[in-house]
Amino acid sequence: MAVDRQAEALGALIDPRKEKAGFLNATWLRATGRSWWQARYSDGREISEWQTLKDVRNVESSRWQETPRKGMRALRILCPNGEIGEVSAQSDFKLWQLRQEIFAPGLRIPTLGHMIGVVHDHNGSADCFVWEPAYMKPDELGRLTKVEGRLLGPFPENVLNIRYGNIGALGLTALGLVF
Amino acid sequence: MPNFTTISLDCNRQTNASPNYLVLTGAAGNEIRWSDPDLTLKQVASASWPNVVRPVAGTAAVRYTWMFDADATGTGFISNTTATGASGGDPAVFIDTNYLWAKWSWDAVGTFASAPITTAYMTTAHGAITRGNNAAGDAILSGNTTDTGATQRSFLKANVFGRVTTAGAPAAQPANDPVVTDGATGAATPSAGANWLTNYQGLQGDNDWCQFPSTPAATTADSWHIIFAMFAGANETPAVFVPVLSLKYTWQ
Repeated sequence: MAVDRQAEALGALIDPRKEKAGFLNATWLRATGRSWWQARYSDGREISEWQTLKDVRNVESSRWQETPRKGMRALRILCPNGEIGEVSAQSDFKLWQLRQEIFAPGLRIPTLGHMIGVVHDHNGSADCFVWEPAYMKPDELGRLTKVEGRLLGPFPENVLNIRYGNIGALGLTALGLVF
Repeated sequence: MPNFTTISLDCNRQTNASPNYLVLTGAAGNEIRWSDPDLTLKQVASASWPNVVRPVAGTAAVRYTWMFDADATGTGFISNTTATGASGGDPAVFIDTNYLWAKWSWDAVGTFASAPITTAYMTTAHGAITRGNNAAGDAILSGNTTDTGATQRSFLKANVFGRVTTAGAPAAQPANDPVVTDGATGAATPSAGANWLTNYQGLQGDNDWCQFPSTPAATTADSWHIIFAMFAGANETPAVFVPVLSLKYTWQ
């Protein structure tokens, strides 16, 4: 829903989809000021979220659903403050990522959290990382103070009832999870 | 798949038999307001919105609801009109036989990663609400023991339907009318299919909320029907309340 003006401006100068993974990481992360996922495969390949953007000027046009899951062995979350979280799996279709947002009439509320995770067993037990972006928090008098972004995790969850953000059961088919 | 480009809250301004929805977007000035007993408020700016006097004793429904697509350009819910502002109409008294009340809508661009949630917060920072706090900053959602029950529920209630509109819009009202003590701790999820929640749910941030029974189909435009009902109580701490009616969702 959000248009990232910094990414839009950077996207007009550089197309990150055409760059080798790693080359642009730090610049792109700092310029966009948001978190991005990055997948590693058993054959050594690496796919970064920005390489899957349909429209380089729209940071929310990435294509997780069309990203190959077969052979995906590790998933990272690259945070704009330099922190990195990583989950790994020994078999296919165990890794996921999602972003949680709110729509409210009259308001544009940015991303609440960006989650990556791995499901471990047939009971749905999982481990997750979440990047919570910076936001402005009002006090009792309505004065705003900035709460810095932070990376949480790893913390245990269950894909059949994610407690973080009251997400609940993940859409296993939609996310391509098999366990 | 990417995030959704357009999500909206569509509000029925005509009739239940022949609905016509005003699309409320994220643009400034798009909002829902409640009042009682004033009726003729369709061109009243937010800053001039009249007070609602709480009941002297007990609790009462706040009977009239408006939708606005600009600060002083609105119309009533079920106001038998297809316009807003000067050509808009006055709202009907709330009754849930007008079950085609509103719906959350989304476009075909995005893909959900889980079932969406609807709830309400007191701030745009979606802060935690202390149940029963009854302070000026949150009394409408935090509730109080005397008015909204031993487990203090929100004065703002909602009922949600158990399937998306393309699978079939509601054709009947919920089994029970809303009452001020309605609510269940955590998620209230209707049975999948042509079902409303049996009882209304209090919308209290991350304490009490409504959830769709499944993850909606990927890249498919659709909507989810919802009815809002508002109450006021004699023990509710008075203030100017601006609750944030929210659709909380995930995308991948």
